[in-house]
Amino acid sequence: MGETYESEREVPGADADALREEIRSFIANWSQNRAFLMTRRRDGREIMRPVGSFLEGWTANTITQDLHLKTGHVRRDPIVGYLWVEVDGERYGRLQFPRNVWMQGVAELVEDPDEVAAFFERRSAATGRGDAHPADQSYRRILIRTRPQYVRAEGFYPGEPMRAVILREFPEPVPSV
Amino acid sequence: MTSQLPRRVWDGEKAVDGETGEALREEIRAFISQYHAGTLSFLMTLRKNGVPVMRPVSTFVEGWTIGTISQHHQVKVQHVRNNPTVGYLFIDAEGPPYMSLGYTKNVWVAGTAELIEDPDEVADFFRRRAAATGQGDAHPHDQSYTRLLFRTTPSYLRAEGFAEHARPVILTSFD
Repeated sequence: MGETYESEREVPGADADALREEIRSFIANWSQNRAFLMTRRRDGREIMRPVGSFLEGWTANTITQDLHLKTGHVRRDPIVGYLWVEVDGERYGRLQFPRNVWMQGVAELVEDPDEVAAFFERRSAATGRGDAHPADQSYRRILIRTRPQYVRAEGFYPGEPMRAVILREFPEPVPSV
Repeated sequence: MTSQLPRRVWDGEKAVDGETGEALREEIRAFISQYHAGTLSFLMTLRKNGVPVMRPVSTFVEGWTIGTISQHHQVKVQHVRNNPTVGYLFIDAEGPPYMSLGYTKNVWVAGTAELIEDPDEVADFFRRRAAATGQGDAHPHDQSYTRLLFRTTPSYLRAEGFAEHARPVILTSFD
């Protein structure tokens, strides 16, 4: 294959592993990126919207409300995806993209109020952000907790940023679906 | 004691009504159509095991039809052959935020992709894109691969940052 192929092919596994912590800290740094969550609608079609995310290890957490459509989506189908896109970072490649990470995972809903409150406490301690709307008690807080199965990161491989870094193994793996 | 009722968070997040959405239709189409002038686009395809994966791609939009060039060896070509369900996320890289988390305009488009392999049709696409944007074939000197075109017709669209607060616009018809 030619140079276009060479410039875009997946990086070798050992090199991907060496970038693992850099990718994790990138997605964990909520002030450095914007997060979008993909869920599946009742008809099976995917949909995405912006969300807040808070990482604990490789587990991605997003607070939702009982009123939100995405809550019902996750209840019916736990396959979700996150896309994180860097804000104000350097751009790479012909199209000048910022660094970006896709994570496909399996989500569970945490509805126990004590567990949700404990999550707010941990997030508040780490980032200063507790419950975003403490004055509004008209809805129930629910936590979407996602463990990854597949991560694809672009813009991280030194010198060849268009080559994708793919990670397929994580601590606390979930059963494949 | 006087106290103001807290405004429900939901009131700033529920979808706008159809009429309001229709009034924003052309603005949304214009946003996803501006060829990488501050708009980033990402393509979702479905892997063989049925789970989604996304990566950055180039897009060129004609009417409501979204075009993306691929190469015969790329995994996304296999994905679309196996399952034509795709999705695009468009993000405003540089515009002003519309909410506290810093989000800028963003549009999700779900649709079905057709894989165009006829070299003449692909060449026509490059000509139209070059005429509109100045960008023809991005790698004209590299003839080691076959160019393919994903041509996607939308079936569902969700746009945030166009209506008030964080209220999404939902469109489901694209004539």
